[in-house]
Amino acid sequence: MACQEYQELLSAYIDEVLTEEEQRRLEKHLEQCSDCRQELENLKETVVMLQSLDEVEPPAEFRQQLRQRLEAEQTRLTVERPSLVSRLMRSPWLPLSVAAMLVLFVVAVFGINMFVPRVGSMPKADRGGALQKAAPEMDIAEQRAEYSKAKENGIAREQELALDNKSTVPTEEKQFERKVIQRANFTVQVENVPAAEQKLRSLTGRLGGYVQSASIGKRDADHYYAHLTLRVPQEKFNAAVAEIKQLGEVINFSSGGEDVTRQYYDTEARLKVMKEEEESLLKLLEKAGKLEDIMQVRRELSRVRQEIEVMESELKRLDHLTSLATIDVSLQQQEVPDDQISTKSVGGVWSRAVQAFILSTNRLIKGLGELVVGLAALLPVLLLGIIVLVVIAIVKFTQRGNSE
Amino acid sequence: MSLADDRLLERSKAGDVEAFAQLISQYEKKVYTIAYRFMGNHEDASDLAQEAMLKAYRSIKKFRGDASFKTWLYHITANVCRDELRRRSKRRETSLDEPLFFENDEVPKQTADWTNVPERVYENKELQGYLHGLIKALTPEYRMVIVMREIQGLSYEEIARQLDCSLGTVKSRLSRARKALKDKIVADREQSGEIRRLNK
Repeated sequence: MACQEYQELLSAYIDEVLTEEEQRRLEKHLEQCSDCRQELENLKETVVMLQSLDEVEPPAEFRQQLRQRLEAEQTRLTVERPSLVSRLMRSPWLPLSVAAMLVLFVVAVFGINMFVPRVGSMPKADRGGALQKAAPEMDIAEQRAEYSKAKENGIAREQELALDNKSTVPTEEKQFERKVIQRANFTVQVENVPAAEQKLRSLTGRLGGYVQSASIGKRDADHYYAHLTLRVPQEKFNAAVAEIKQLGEVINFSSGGEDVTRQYYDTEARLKVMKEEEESLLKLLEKAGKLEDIMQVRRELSRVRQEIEVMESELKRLDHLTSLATIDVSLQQQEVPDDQISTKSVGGVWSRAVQAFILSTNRLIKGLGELVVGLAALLPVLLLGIIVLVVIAIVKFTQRGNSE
Repeated sequence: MSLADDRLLERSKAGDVEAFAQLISQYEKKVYTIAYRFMGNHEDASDLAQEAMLKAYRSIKKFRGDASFKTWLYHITANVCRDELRRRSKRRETSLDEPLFFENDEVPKQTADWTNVPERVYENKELQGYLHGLIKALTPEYRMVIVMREIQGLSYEEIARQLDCSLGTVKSRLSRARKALKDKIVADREQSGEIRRLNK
């Protein structure tokens, strides 16, 4: 063992914390090595000097300062034990934090309004199937969902875009435009059927459409009914639907679209083939010499022309159907006009009360559900906000801790 | 701890500042000294000694008397100072593992006049200042073990527990810290041309 290694043991030797074996070997070495003995002496002296260092007198104001701090601490501990909340309230960071939270909240609410209806309608669209749905208070978002249901998978989104704004249709869609027949079906209870009928007619005219068919009649002395089929331009469909809802109490509404794109373009392609056929037949006719041949070509030509006509009218019909949406409206007389006294409505009060109770209960449950969904949607933002607050609080208190 | 101290302790636990102030007054000097040796200057020492006593006041209800009050109080003081030193060294990004014994070489050259009355040398104010300068110049890592061992008089086990390291680490760290101080003292003494005392 080199002196270096023995010298590393000296400190522990002074404090008598060496193992017996180490101590025995060190002492043996010290007997022989004067350098190490010298080292031990110097080290011992250093330690003695350090240990004999006097205690230091605190400065004069020490006790008084301490007393002040102690008393401040006492009042803090006993009088008011500030919670984290109240300390945060007093924090100069509070206004900033509140502002940050407000901004986050606004962003969150705005964001939710942007995407929640879509999120809500997705499952419906996926389910597909039945078009019919009695939903008097159906909103625009749900309407969209209804269209989506009616259309084949994948078409829905483009169709929605096309409906909302034709100009936003992607370029590829322009050369292969969707052909969809829009339909809506209303049953509306109104106070005055003839007046409502007139309103519908003027509405249709205003929107640039026309009334395809209308029938109005009386079921008995004071019960009118009417049925109208309106045609309005595709792009006015939503406006028309919204206005019709204003007429009275909507007791039945359904809407949908029939995608005839494939049918349309198939017909168009067949038409093109047929026209080429016609061309070639005409050329053949010019060359034909024998009467027999001429007759045969003519027969063939007339058959082709007939088919062309059929296809052209089909295309026209589809164009017509898809350029104008069809809205069927059934108008019904309300049971009791508001300006007459009747005892009819007393009957069934109980059952209607029960219905009303069930209805509002269901609405409440639905509303609560929406609330939960809304809160869940807000949760990430709230968490973020809380994290921000906590970080601010930590920074704040660390700073305070440092300054103390 | 005397019977009177016990009564003071009880009253302190009830939140009595007067009693607490009276209780700690007898340990005040030692607490201050520990803080002073740890921190190196009076300003920090004053602040941290007070901080330690406030901490003791805050948690005196938790003091169950397993150790003596004195030990408990010194323990808190050392903790407060160590935390502060660690925080500072972290802030300065200095590595504790650097093989530096002194933070810089500007150890105050308050070399005592060793020639005069060697028996009274330890009472010498100049020597006290000189030694304090040496401790202060040590890296926090070494300063901690030196103060804990030589000033607080803690055992190796106690130091290991408080620093959360092994006994071996305490041994080697203390050994190196002492050697650093000794080397410095010897060098300064040789420089001042007074070799007589250590090289008898």
